Amino acid sequence: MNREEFKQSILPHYRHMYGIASAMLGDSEDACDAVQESMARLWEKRDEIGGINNYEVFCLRVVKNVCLDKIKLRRQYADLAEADRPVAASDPTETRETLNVVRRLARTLSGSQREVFMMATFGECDNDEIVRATGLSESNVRQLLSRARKRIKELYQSYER
Amino acid sequence: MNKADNIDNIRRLVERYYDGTATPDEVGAITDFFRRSDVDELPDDLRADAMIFTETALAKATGPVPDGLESRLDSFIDSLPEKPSRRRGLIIRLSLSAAAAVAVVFVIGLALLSRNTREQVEPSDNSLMASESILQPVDTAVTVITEPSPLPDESLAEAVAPVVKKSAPARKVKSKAVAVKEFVAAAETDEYHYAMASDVCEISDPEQASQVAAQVLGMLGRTLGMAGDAIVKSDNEANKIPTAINKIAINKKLSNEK
Repeated sequence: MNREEFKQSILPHYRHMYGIASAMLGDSEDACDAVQESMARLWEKRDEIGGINNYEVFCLRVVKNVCLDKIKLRRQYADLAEADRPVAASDPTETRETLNVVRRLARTLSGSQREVFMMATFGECDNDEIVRATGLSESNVRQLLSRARKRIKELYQSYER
Repeated sequence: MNKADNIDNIRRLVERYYDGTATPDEVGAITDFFRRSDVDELPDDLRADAMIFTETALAKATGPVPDGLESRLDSFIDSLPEKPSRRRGLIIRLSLSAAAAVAVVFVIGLALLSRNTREQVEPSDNSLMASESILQPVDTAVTVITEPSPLPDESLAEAVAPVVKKSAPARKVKSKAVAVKEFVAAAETDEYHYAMASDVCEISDPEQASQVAAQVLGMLGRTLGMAGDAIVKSDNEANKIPTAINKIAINKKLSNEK
């Protein structure tokens, strides 16, 4: 696959890739970096992916893995106390008008709950992947996910009323 | 599967979803079901779930993107090398291996020179000699002709003792400069041999000698490879230090906050 073919088949998926990265990482700049890093990884594998039918699935899998790596790294270096505080929106594109209601409600969750919820919901990560990326125990991940989903439902029901 | 069974099945999956145990495939199945269903026809207890799953699917497919991201990615793709450069880790590994190889060759060279200068007082052969102690790990692949000891029987016990012991007194009385001079002279007159241990064997056939040399070089290569691996391993361990320090700092901060 040459450069032009790569741009035609891979680049158009950047919006979807950004959406996943932004949801999983919760930060616009980090999400842009993740998409860029994914492009570099895909470029390195361009000879292998030449024959696949669904580029989008492959692109999304790569960006998800890049995000998991970033979350793992962030967990290693971030202040753990900081991770449990609800964060303000750091993505300038996430306004009330543009942001989907589920993502808006998810912003009200606590740090770990939000992180786990977004990884599972938008990154389509299974519990094992979340365990590996966050370093949390399996039961902890399951519990955080369960509480986050129930909380989102409560918030959604009150939002609808 | 009739509609009621289907609804029951979805209910079970939704329960697993809220329990945090549903797999991504199961979540996908719930999403597909709700996207194909008319919300008004669903049971009351599933309506909010249907809305949430539909909204989530919508959020995945569409969303705001920062201005300029596409052009940034386009330029980035243009800047990517046609042939991807080898990974940085590999370059570091090769550099370390090369450095280790140079260091090991230097040390071996020094050791050989040191032994040679010690041995120069006992020249007894004019053929290319190789120590069996060096060849031991690969001796099955090499044919080595062992020459009987030229020493008389009574000195046999002494002959099998380490050569270094015999040459040690001589070293004491010779200055370094004299020793080197004699070494060079012995080499020029072809009287010098590489006696590195008591079990010395002679290789008179040039073909065999080249085989032995190849084996020794092979061993040297493996040793250098092992040295390189050890250095990389040390480097990896050293890279973990900042993480450990960070963890300690975080724990300390947390305990201080308490």
